[in-house]
Amino acid sequence: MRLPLFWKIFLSFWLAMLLMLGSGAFLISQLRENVIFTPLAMGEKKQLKYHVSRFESRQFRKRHFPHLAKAKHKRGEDTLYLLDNQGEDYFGRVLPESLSLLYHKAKKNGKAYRVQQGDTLLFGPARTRFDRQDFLLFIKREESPMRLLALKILIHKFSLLQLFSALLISALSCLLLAWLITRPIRMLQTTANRIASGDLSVRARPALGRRNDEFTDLARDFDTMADQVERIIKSQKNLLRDVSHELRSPLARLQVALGLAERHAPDAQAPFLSRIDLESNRLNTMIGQLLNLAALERGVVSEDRTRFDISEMLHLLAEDARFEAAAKNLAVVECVAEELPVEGYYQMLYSALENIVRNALRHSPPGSTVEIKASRDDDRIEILICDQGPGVAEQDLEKIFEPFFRPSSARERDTGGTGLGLAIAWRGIAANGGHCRARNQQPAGLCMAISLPVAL
Amino acid sequence: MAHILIADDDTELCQLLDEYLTQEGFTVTSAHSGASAADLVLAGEHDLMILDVMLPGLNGFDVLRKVRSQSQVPILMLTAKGEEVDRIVGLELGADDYLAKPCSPRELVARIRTIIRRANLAPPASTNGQVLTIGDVELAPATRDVIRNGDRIQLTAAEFDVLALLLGHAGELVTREQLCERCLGRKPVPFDRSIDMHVSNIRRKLGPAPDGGDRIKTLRGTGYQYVAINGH
Repeated sequence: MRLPLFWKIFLSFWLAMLLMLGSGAFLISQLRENVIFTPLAMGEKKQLKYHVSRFESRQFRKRHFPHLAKAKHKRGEDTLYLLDNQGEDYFGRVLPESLSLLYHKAKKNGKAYRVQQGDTLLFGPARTRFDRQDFLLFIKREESPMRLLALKILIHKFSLLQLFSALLISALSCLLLAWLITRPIRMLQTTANRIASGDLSVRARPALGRRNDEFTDLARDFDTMADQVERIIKSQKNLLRDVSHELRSPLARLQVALGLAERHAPDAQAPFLSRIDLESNRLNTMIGQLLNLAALERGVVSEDRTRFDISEMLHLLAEDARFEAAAKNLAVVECVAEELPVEGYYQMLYSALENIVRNALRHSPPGSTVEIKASRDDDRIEILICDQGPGVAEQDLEKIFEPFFRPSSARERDTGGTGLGLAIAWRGIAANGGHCRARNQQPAGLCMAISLPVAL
Repeated sequence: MAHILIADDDTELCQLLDEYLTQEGFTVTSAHSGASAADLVLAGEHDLMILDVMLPGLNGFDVLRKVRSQSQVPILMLTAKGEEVDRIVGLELGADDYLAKPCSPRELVARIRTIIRRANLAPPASTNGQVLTIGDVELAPATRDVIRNGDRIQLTAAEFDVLALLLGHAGELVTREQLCERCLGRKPVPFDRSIDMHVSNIRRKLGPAPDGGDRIKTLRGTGYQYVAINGH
């Protein structure tokens, strides 16, 4: 599961803060010298009542001690003190210092209190009569240190409201902290995304405002990188345009010169001249496709998005394919559903599908069939273009969309492709929000599965 | 003898083409910038202009726009191969046909001949020289005029021929092959959208039918049909 950095920072900070609060409370309670009196908890009142009733209901004798002075309790061991009017213990024991304090405070205010000191809890008094005298009953409880002391102290020392507000404040401060840390990261991410999607003019530094820290250093370095990328891409773009023009001009002259040469050449030279013609045409096709691919990779689009019915495009393609297929005695079978609305770049998608259809035609053995199918599946349009050619080795199925990829079977070279058609198709389809996969079909042949979103 | 203007900034190519076309019996003038090409062709002495898209100063599209605002002289565009968008823009702006550059000079000559023959051939074969009236559209083959509701519609030679063929067969299917062969004078090349562009230009220029519907119906992948309103 992916947990965003924001929540990671928030949770770890909050946890750390809570741990610190808890251990702080624990340490303070351990180290505190001055004694704090708090009102009795419900359980402690009950405990006192219980012991008072024990003293009064049965006729205990002095000889029953020391059993009487001790009592087991689920939280630890209780020691009972019976103090008379002078604050002397009935059993003549030496009183702990905090018990004397508790005794005097209780006597003065006429109220019962509890005092926590480390593992020791003192609470009381409760009036009782024993051995024909009036006493004040106090209980000293030694709590077992194995318990979750800190938690207990927290619960005893703070009210629920305090606890809740502590949680809330710490959560809010951690949220703020996490937000402050992740905000510049998100800004950098937004900038990076915009650059990746083709807007090379955006920079990260201005978005961070007046802050000056490691993040602004990072943003500055990022901007330097973006400058560099922008410069390189711009020069590459110019270079490609120039290359296209400069390479094509000599090709154009070559063709006219060839035309002149053909007119005057003896017949014996004709095959060589037509070979020159063929190769110069190949070179020209390749230059065109290379430019096409470069434009797609840069995300440069020279047309507007429109809404159209892709079934009509497929009909046109099928018709053109039939025209080309006639020479190889191929059949082109169409199974295209009506009304497949798509929103995207018409020309780009057309040339993408054209490249796939041409690829299928090129690899079809004479007399075989090329299938073009399309149907609507929920919110996707699924297009299948299948040939009955030799197919592609399984491990190469994804690589055929890479520029100039030659499968081990070298199917491209024999058939005169430029090695760019499928790369153009793949990128063209991706730019229209779709995807394209190749798979082999039984008994033979390659199937291109294209999926595009249905226009709403 | 047809007089051809070549607008291309590649002077060496112009020289070679000059030689080739002269041997084919044409008279050739060259212009190496967009502005001079537009001025020369608007002087009205040329039968056809070969226009390269990539021109310094005014580019090919600018020249096309400027020339088409004043003249329907046949124009053959030279576009870089692989730049489908250039072709579409060119045809939309009213070029008669396009050829991918670099092209074989044989192909170039064939296209030039077709376009010039068509431009000189006043009544297109499909109409027998009769004035055709379908609904609110009137087409006069002799003068190559198209009138809709009394307004003269400016069509290029190629658009005129496409419309003439469609009107001549109003209410019937005219396939893209027929349109290509009869109007552009060539066999349809696979993956070529010229006819579709001409039809879409005609649609745009004529506007919707009086009842608000389409004048020209597209018949999925096969061709076009002019909707016969008055029962032709």
